[in-house]
Amino acid sequence: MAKKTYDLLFKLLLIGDSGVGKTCILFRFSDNHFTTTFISTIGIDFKIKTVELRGKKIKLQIWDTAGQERFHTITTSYYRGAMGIMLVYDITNEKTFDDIVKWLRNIDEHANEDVEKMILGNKCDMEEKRAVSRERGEAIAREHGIRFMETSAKANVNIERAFNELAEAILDKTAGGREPDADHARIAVERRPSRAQHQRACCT
Amino acid sequence: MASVTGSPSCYCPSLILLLVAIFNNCTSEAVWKKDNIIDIPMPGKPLFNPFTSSFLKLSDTRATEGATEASGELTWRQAIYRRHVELNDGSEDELSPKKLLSLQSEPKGRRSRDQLRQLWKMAIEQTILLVRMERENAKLKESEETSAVRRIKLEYNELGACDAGVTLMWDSLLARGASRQISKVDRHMLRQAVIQGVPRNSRGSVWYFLAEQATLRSPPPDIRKFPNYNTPYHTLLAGLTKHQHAILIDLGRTFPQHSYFASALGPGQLAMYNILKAYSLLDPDVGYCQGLSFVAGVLLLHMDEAEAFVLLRHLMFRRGLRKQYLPDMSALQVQENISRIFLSVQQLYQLSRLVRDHEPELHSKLEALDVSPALYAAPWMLTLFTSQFPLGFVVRVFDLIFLESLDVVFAVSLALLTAHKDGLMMCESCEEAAEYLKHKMPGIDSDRGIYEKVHSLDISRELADYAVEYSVLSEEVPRMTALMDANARLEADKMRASEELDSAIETINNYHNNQSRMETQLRTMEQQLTALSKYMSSHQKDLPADIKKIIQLYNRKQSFSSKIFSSKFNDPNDEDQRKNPKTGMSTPNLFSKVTKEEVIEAIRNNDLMELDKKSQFSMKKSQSVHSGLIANTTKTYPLKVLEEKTEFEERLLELKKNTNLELIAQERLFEQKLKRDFDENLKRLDAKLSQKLDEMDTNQNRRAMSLNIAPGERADSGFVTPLSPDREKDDNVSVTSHPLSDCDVEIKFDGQSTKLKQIRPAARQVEEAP
Repeated sequence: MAKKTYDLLFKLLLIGDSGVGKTCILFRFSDNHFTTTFISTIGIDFKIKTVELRGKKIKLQIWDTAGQERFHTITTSYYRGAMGIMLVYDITNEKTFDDIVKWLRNIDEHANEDVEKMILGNKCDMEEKRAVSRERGEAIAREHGIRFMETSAKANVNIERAFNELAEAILDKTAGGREPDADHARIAVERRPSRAQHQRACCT
Repeated sequence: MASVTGSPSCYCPSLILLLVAIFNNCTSEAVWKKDNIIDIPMPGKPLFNPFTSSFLKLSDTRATEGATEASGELTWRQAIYRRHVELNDGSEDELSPKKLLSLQSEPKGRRSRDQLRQLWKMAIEQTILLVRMERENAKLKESEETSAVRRIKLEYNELGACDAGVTLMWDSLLARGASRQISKVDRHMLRQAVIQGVPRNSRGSVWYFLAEQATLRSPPPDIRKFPNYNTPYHTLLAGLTKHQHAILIDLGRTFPQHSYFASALGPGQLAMYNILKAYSLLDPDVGYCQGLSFVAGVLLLHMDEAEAFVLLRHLMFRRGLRKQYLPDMSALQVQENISRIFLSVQQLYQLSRLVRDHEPELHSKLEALDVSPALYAAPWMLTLFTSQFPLGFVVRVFDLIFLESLDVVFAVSLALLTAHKDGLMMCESCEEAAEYLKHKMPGIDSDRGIYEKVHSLDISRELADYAVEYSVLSEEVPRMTALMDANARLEADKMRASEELDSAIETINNYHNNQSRMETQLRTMEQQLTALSKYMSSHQKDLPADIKKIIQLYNRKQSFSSKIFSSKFNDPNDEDQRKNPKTGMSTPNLFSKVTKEEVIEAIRNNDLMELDKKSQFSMKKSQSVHSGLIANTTKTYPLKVLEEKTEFEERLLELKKNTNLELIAQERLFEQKLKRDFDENLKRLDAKLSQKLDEMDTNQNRRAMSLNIAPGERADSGFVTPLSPDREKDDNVSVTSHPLSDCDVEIKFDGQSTKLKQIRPAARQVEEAP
């Protein structure tokens, strides 16, 4: 099994209340299809997708979490390693929007200080059931200085764009702009042994 | 039907119409409700249902056809109908096919009123019969449907079917349970029975039976906190739960592929909703937790709602499943941050320990890949393997859970990991391993090997140990944090102390360097002194009064300055002591005190030898001190070093107080070593210093010189003008000392004080004098 090589590895995290569509967003992004036959995320799960940004192959390791509050003990331990976090709410459910503040507090408590954040208002295809206006979403994002987007995993609106934008923001930060610096080099060095190891495993 | 309408008469069309109408109505579902049929004959009740309205309608049509016959007879048909229904309510089988046949064979032609009545009667009777038949059909259909649902529910591949003997054995066991004589059945026997397999169709009853057996063995749960514990299921269903939304959104996400649960708000989902809602009302602490829906789902597949609810309650309260869904409230009190600690974390810990003890290689491999039990085992625990593994495997796990306890979950987890150890050891990355655990492992035919291994594993004791270990650990956490904080603080202290030590050592080195520099300077000064002394001795008698004044002045200053230092050589006459200093003379206070009176007296008495010695000595002292002063701005080194030393010792003591355990011991050793080194260094330096001074002393004393009224300008300059000294200047001066020029210089030095001008003429005199 030949594995794709990549230049950078970004760890992303999807958080938000139960049932807002985190898993659907992830499915849409990684497999580009929408399905209703999936089970509730119990604990934590992840998917991989490699994207190309500015000529660099970037492997995105996206962690999907259980939204129910009592799973926090399990999920918060994954906050620390995340370089980007997507906060998802459901535009048809006001409670999920109100809880965004709570999730932001969670990030402050458990994630790295310089983690890139983004708020997603999912299910924007269900305009007739909308309970949270786009303006309110934009306002809360502005208030916290975070990117904002309305998405629909079902209608495939903004999903890819959201991930690409987040990845680009991280790229800006990691590489200190377009020029690869020491930080970048360090990551590249880190990755090399594992690849070599893998090749060795393939040969045997 | 065809036989009934076969008679060719003028009434036939209407009869056919009637029957068709009745038939049509009967086949429409609404009519099949029992109530409709019973309602019709009730007196005084308006006949609004379609069944009777068709009657009325038909009688109207008939009335227009034959007015004479039909007039006033609107009610007799109803009468027949009523009479018949009332009659038939009591005796169902009155209408025999024979009777119907006899009616059918009657001659054709114009019919009498009786005949018509007869015909009507027959039609009505047949209709009613039809209704009955349809009803029976519906019943049959319904039972067929339930069995179909049952089939759908139990649609999974068994892990090996159990043979007829086992089925019979279970039947007898269940019969015993059903006969209400609930008695303990030998556990070993039950175990054997379960191992041999459980027939799929009676699995629900077997679970129920096993649950009853477990109830007999264990004490009742503490239900004081749960007022709804014994509330009947149907009463609970009437309540409202705050978890409604959480439950509803999970309905579609539990067994989405299973045909029983697949249809949105179909029977399966409704039953699941009911059971979860009822449970959340019964147990408000747990309420609804993701994962519960899967457990409830498996139960629902094998029994009806009410039974499934009872078994869910049994699992939660009596088998301890409940605690893993609980948000831990005790943690809330300890630390706000981790307010929502899941007790399932304990389970994950137990599993991790179990793997470490049984499969150390695999454990370290998973650790290296950063695959924690939270990643793969959380769904195993919280859904009892239901969310990821095929149902055939899951129900066997449930068999065991009902037979034994929840420890089975750990045993199965361990057995699974062991069975797939090779595959997992091949994984190269976290992703690969996670993929294997989540998808490949359940996909691979879960063979009986695992099941057998589970039986052979006895891990209850270990699990209990780990649980204790975990609780101890979690209690220790706050204490550990405090200790770690203290540790970090001590580390910082240690760092700071060692930094200070470094700087102290550096200072000592500097001091050492100064020493050597001072020595060189001293040597130069000595040369100067010798030269000057020679000069002075040769010009002794020519000394002008001014110069003598200067000497006086100088000596006064010197005596003042020498007070700064305590001197060992208080007695200037004690030459022996100066000449042969003792070894104990290691303190830096080596400065002798030569009073101005002595100098003056010496001059006066012309006791050249004596005074020379003294003044030389005193000068030497001041020189050495001042050359140090001038050469290095850190004039207080010796004192400072000492100060630091004591300070350091104090810190050490403090550290000793603060530290504990090994760290303390190590640190203490380290500190002691440092201290020892430090002391040694200091001692060495002191020794050197004293040695040097001794040498100087002896040198000075050895020389018998004439009175030197022009001491080294540098030494003097230091005393009079402590601000002025400048290293460069000093060096220059000390280098360019010449016996002759010295005089001039010396005077210039004194001139730096306010007395310069007064002295200047004298200086000229001095210059002129020789």
